[in-house]
Amino acid sequence: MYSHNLMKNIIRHFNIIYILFLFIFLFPAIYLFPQERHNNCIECHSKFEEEETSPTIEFKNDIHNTSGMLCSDCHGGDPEINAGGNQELAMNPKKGYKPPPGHNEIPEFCARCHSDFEYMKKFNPNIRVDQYENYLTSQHGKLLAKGDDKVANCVSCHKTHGIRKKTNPASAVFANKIPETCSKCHSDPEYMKEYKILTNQLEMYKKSVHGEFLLEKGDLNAPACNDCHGNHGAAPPGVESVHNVCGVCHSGNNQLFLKSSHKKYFDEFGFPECASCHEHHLIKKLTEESLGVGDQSVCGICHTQEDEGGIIAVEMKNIIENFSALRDTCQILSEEVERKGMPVNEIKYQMNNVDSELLKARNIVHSFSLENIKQITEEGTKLAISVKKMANDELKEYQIRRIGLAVSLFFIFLAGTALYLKIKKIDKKNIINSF
Amino acid sequence: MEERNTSRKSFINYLLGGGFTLVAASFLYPIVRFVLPPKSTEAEPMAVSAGKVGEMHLNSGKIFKFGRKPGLLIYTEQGEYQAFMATCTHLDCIVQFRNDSESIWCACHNGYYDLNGNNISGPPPRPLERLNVFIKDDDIMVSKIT
Amino acid sequence: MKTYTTNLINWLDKRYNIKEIIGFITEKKVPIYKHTIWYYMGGITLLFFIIQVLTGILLLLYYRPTPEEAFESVQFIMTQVHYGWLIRSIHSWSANLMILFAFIHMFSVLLLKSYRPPRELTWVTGVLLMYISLAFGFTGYLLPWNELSFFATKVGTDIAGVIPFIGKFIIRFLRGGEDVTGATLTRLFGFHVAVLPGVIIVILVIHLLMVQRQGMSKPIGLKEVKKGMLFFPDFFLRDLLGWLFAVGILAALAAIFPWELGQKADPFSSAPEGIAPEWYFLFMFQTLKFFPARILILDGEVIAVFIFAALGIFWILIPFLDTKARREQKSPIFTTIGIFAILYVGIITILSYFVFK
Repeated sequence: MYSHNLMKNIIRHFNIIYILFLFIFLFPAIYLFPQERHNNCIECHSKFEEEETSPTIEFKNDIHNTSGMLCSDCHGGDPEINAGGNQELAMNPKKGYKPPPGHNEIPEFCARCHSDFEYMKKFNPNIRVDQYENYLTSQHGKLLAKGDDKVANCVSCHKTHGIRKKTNPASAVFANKIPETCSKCHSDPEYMKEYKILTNQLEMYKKSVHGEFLLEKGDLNAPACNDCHGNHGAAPPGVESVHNVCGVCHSGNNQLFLKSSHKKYFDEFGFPECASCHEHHLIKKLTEESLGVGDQSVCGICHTQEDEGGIIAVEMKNIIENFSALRDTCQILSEEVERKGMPVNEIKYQMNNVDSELLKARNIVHSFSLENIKQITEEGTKLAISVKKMANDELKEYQIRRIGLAVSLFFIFLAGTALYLKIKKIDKKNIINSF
Repeated sequence: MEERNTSRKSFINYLLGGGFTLVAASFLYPIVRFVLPPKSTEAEPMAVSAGKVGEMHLNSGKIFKFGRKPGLLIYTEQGEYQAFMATCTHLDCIVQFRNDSESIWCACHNGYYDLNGNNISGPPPRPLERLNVFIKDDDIMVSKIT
Repeated sequence: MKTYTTNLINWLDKRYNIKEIIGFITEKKVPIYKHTIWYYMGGITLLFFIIQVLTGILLLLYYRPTPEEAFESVQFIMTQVHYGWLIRSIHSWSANLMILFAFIHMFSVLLLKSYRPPRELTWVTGVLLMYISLAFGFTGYLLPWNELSFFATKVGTDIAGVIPFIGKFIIRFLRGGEDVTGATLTRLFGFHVAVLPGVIIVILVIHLLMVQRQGMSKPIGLKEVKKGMLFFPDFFLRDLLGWLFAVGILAALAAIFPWELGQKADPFSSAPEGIAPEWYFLFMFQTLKFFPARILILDGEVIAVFIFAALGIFWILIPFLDTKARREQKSPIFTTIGIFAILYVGIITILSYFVFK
């Protein structure tokens, strides 16, 4: 019914002759626009490629395919010729066909396009084209240049024919897939044997605060391997640039560390700055136990109980431990207040501030200045004491309420007893046995 | 016998009278206290005063108490007031105004927000929660946007 | 002293003939037998009602019925106003105890068949008082404007929407719009503090006058009760003792388990877990869930609502339907109905807390 009306309308509005004109003059114009290009490569190759990982199958979801590229755009040859099974005709070197690149040739192979901004900007005007350049400076790239065919190249991480955007969660280089991807080689002791480097990075990373956030809590902003080592220029940061790497996010602590006396000595002795205490990959969350010179202390690695640094370390430990203990007392009190149903809003608000003071106090340790720590904890302690007082006041009020209740219940009991006696008394007179 | 009975009766009556007087007193006391207005006579409204007009410098920010949580009030270079919840959307640290870069900064992981509260760099996943600012008499009032 | 009182009585008697009333009261008797205890339940319900009125008026001094200020003002009452926590807590506890004792009172009357002639209208007004009390509970629940009550009110008013033809209208009427908003708060507040109190006072006075005029009913088969006591002072003082006991319990509950306020309602947040109406609505709420989505071609929920409405009317009409009791004969059918209702309401309510959650 509806379509019928529509047709009527069209006919009414567009003169039939006009429509004929359109057909006659515009129809051929369609041929002027490019048609979907034939891809005979897939047609033939898919006949003998049945595995999931075969190029023709994997290529279906490849970013190059979805961007409208054909096999020949990388491999050359003529995909449009109907070769009828004649390989020489389709894979004709004269038509640009090249055999698949070897392991060492791949970076250059990809870079033909990916380093050409003129070409790449057609797809994305903001695209990066420095990957190849970066790669050449990476440990991988350097070894590859020396003819090492075990090191990672583009396809080791990005896959060969199933390349996806890094923002695609199915991609091997999606934020939370990166640790797994790097570990394919780096956690294999057999494979890494000849490079003489550790293979426990993934294991350590999973235990680290970064790994916990990225892999367990799903926070895609948490750093993976590439955020510290670089994407394509992957290399361990030099000892003196650790603070810069960590400082990208932990800028406050970085600033404190740079101004501290430790920076100079760490560099002199070749200690890896942040990693000297927090370790690399494990990114240890240090506690008060790490201060001082005890068994679990990191200060104790260099300092002893006798030297000046050791004495300061012990004092730092005591100050922060005291503050932290006071904070815990406040927490317990505030929980008790809440459990007893007393108003807890103000206490909780101030408790947040105490918590952030404690955080500040722990952070200020990176200045390695006793004075700074004293100053921060003093403010925090004042606040905590006021919270403690508020909580105690509430608990006192709670007791007062109890006592008030007891008193009024006693009064009720008194009146009730009197009433009971009165009833007993008048009952003698008033109970009627014949009703 | 008669005398004992009368004294017992009057004892019960005294007890009854006294008991009920005390009960009545213990009821009336809280009621009278309740009816007398408390020191702070205003119920905490939806809007809180974040500061006084004229007390802030241009291009500066301050933390104020918004209910249970901290808020951030900014007086921009252009003389506008902006307010946000001051908890970073990354891990709940308290953010601060940076007048050098005219942005809001979270010191914990170097996260930046612009003066509209949009996350512009670093780990914060979302913009800051924006609050409504209006001037009432001399007070800069802040309320939730509903 | 005595002469003053006599003079006053005489003065009043000349004008209002009150000696007749006094004489009526002093001669009124209450039978004593094993079920006398149930005669006190109505009185205790009345006590809680009086407490509701008093604490309700007190809360009105500080409460503000707008979505911006409702939660904050209750918070203010509980934290800033002297004994505000106590008054609010008593209001909440007493509301629940009032409903509880109203239920006990109602079922005891049902099982003792006290509704039979000449007390049919006492029962009718009593059931109406019960329904109004439930309406008090429903309208009062939203007033603190906290998360739980906000969403419970949303769900509760939604149920009215399934009624064919007028459902949409009822929702709009209750909510003051399409959704639960500030308009709903104003509306329910108005019902809670003006409309319902006005209605309940009228019916309550009628109910009490009827009880006083007709005196206590004696159950069928217990016609020959020998023992009795004077209503005044014996029964009255016992009632008073019961009141003292109830007040003591109420004070202890209110002080030891203060009523929580919870989180402020945020209309834009998703519904929190464990939304539940007040306990006395749970059996209805749960029954609604038992009904399948469709029964033949009809919507299950619609049928459930209709069944509840029918039961509500049936409940009012019991004195007229129980023909056996009307003839002073035992009526096991209505005893069974009563026991079944008690068991159903009791078991479903308890299960809602422990199993269906």
